[in-house]
Amino acid sequence: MADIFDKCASWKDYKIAKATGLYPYFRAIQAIHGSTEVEIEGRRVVMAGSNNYLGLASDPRVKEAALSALKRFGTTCSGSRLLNGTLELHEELEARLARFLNREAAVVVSTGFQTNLAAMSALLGRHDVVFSDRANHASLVDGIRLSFGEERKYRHNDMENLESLLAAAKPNAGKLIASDGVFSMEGDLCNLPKIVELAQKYGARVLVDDAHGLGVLGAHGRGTSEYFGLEAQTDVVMGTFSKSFASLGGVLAGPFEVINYIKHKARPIIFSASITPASVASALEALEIVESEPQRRSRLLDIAEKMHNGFRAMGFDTGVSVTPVVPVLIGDQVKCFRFWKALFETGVFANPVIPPAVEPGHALIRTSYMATHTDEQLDRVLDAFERVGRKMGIIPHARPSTYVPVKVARPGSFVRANQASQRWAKTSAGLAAEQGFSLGQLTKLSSREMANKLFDAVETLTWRAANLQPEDLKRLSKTPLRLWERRGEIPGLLLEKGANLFIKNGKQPEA
Amino acid sequence: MAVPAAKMSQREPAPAPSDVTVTPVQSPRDRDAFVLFPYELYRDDPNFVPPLLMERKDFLDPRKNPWFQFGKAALFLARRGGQVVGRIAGVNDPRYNEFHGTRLGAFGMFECADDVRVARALFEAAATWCGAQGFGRMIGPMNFSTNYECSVLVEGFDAPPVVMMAYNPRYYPALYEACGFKKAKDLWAWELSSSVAPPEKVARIAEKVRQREGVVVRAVNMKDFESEVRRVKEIYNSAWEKNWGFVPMTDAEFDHMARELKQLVVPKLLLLAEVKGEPVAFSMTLPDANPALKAAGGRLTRFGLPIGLVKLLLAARRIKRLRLITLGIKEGYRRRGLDAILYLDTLKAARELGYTGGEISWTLEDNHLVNRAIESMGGRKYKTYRIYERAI
Ligand SMILES: Cc1ncc(COP(=O)(O)O)c(C=O)c1O
Repeated sequence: MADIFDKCASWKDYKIAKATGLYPYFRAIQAIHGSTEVEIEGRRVVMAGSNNYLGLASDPRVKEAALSALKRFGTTCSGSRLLNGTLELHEELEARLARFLNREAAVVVSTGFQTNLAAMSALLGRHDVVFSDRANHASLVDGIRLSFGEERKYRHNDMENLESLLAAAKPNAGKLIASDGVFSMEGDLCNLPKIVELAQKYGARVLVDDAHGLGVLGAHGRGTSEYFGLEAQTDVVMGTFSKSFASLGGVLAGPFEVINYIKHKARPIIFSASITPASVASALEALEIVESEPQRRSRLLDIAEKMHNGFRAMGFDTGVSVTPVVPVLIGDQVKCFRFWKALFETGVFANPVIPPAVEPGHALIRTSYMATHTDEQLDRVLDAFERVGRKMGIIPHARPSTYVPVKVARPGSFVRANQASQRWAKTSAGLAAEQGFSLGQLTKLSSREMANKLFDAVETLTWRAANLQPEDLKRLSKTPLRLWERRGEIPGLLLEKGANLFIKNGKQPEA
Repeated sequence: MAVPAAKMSQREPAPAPSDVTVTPVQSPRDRDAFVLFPYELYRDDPNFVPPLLMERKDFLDPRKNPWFQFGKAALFLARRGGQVVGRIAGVNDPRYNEFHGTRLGAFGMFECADDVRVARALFEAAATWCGAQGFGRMIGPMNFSTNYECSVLVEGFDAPPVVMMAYNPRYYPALYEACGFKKAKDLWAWELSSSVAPPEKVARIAEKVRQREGVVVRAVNMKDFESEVRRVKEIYNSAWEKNWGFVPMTDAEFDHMARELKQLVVPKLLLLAEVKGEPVAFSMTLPDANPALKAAGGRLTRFGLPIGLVKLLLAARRIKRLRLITLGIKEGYRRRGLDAILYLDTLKAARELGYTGGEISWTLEDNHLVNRAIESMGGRKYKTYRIYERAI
């Protein structure tokens, strides 16, 4: 009889990654220094992987608001919004958000993830069809799974594909098009103008998950729909407080009846405790600042442009992004882990993203920025990438003579994706949501694959050795060889081999 | 016999290449797929000799293969339902065009499943690329010039290929012809056994020439490799000058080739003929390394162990066949019987070294002088290779 725990015991990827020292997840932060720098394992590094876009998470005003709510209302509401868990503060936040987003109503939910679960599970009935971008966030995907509606996935931002699916659906079925506003891994925007046009043509509703857009895009920070001037045509907007809003929780805003229905029907809302008083107060204060300090947004977009172009000038590819989500393409996933490690050791924290979150061969380092990063810190990040990139042979040793600069999504510019890298978008649309994320990334890095990589390395070395001739040896002693320059990668490979042996013998190495 | 292209296309309206997609090789993964495809395609072919994977990778690496110092190649993969079903390279060899005063594009590295639609889609991709380079016709297969492996095997599928000769499935000629290709030139391969004694008359004439002209034939001196390479290069580039399809090799190419061959050569089978101390003719005969390569199965190591290398070295000790790959005589020394002398001396050395026979390849179908000479030595034409051509 199978034991459901068997898969946990036989799951080796974690052990391998840990043994090779390449394991990048769950790194504990020991201290923060104004949130742009953090201490991990006793090392002080620049944080280039946070979603705290406006830098409000350590703003004294926000902290003060949280403290005073904590003092007034205690640490938690100990219950659901529906029953004992609603404070006036929750209602104030909902009213303020509805006004901010020009909507009839808004409901706040304990996390952004639950907000999407709530919206999808409550809205999609048995005969409804939802059209969902393949690169949508996991919470939308799971919300759809939780619902009784039928799902039709379209290729990332492929509007022809979307239209053909819309045209093929039953004309009298209820239809919803659901898309991220800003895609979280690759930093491009959805084609909202076309989505809205198709929605009108086929009688569908539109829901935009603007987790990364709210507070960042549009002249007033109202996100992707403001940026495109399509607020009235976007039926429901979803947002989260865990990014620009310096807190924890999510919001859904739209027509009163719709929000009211969801509020009473969605199990992720009804059966979960409400947002803590401190979190509500932080979000409220952050909203105040989002509205009153537009200079934070322009600073953030300046930074985004500086970083995109800084990376491109070195020969890196930042893909289709036009936002402060700046992915740096690495390619091979083991290389990506090694790159991540080297970056960390050079003083920069960023996030490695590997298949299945992206297409195989398109592993990337996802960087993201805060309005409060100083130029000096940003230069340090660029410098670290250049050094590591050259050492690992990802960028050339000399800077390319030209590059195509990135135009970021500033108010009025209407860019959606970086055209120079459209090709990349087509092949590597983030698949995170579809296939599960977190540690699942590592499962693709099976021990077999690792072993094959090692065997290939041995083959290469044997081939090179077999081809060495006296004159090569002579030359070797004169000029530094590329292999020598890249020696840093060899221990990594050997470590992988070592880790494998350990695991095969059932012994777990010490990490 | 293949059906001529014209008839074929009348009978069969060009089917849409619907489900086949051809895309340029962009990522390292694509490149791997490109290199690996033949291993899959020929999996069940007993005559196929898998090249060393690393050697193929280096060959396509512009930093490693000196041909790329002047030439340009674009690689394409054909896929159906995600599966690779074919590959091709568009080839632009400016040195060829400069040398012959032509505007001719080329293609190479063609491998394809038995499906005209795939072949058509691949040739279209190569043709479009060549068109964009400004060419009106294309020729091939050239991988990437006549100095390397080239041409399609059209007759003689029963024997495995010898070292550095092309090999392909039987259905390739039909694919080419169905896609509008016409013969540009045939290349011939000859079989020769070292147990067959050369005709008395030839031997006698050769001896006479040797005496009269004061021809000294000597083996290449491996200790003085670099200057020997220089001598050979001079003969090579002047000897082939007027030959169809020939492109002189650059120094970098020649040195690279010499380096690669150095691993393979048996010095006693590299012969230089000198007249009054001047090197005027050269012949190169190589042990046919293919059985050894076949034993290695494409890799020197497996599971990190030098399994392939060991198999290769063991099999290399059992090589019994040779390939006479080049025999070149400087202008002004031809038609004097120098070729016969080199043949005879090679044959003698081969017999002494215990080789049982081999192949002479390739010769141009219309190089009657050489072909007749080989025939007169007891050679038997046993394979025909073809280079095709068509408008873009
Ligand atoms: C596009 C998108 N939607 C939803 C979420 C979930 O938000 P939260 O972190 O508040 O659960 C995130 C962030 O993880 C996101 O990137």
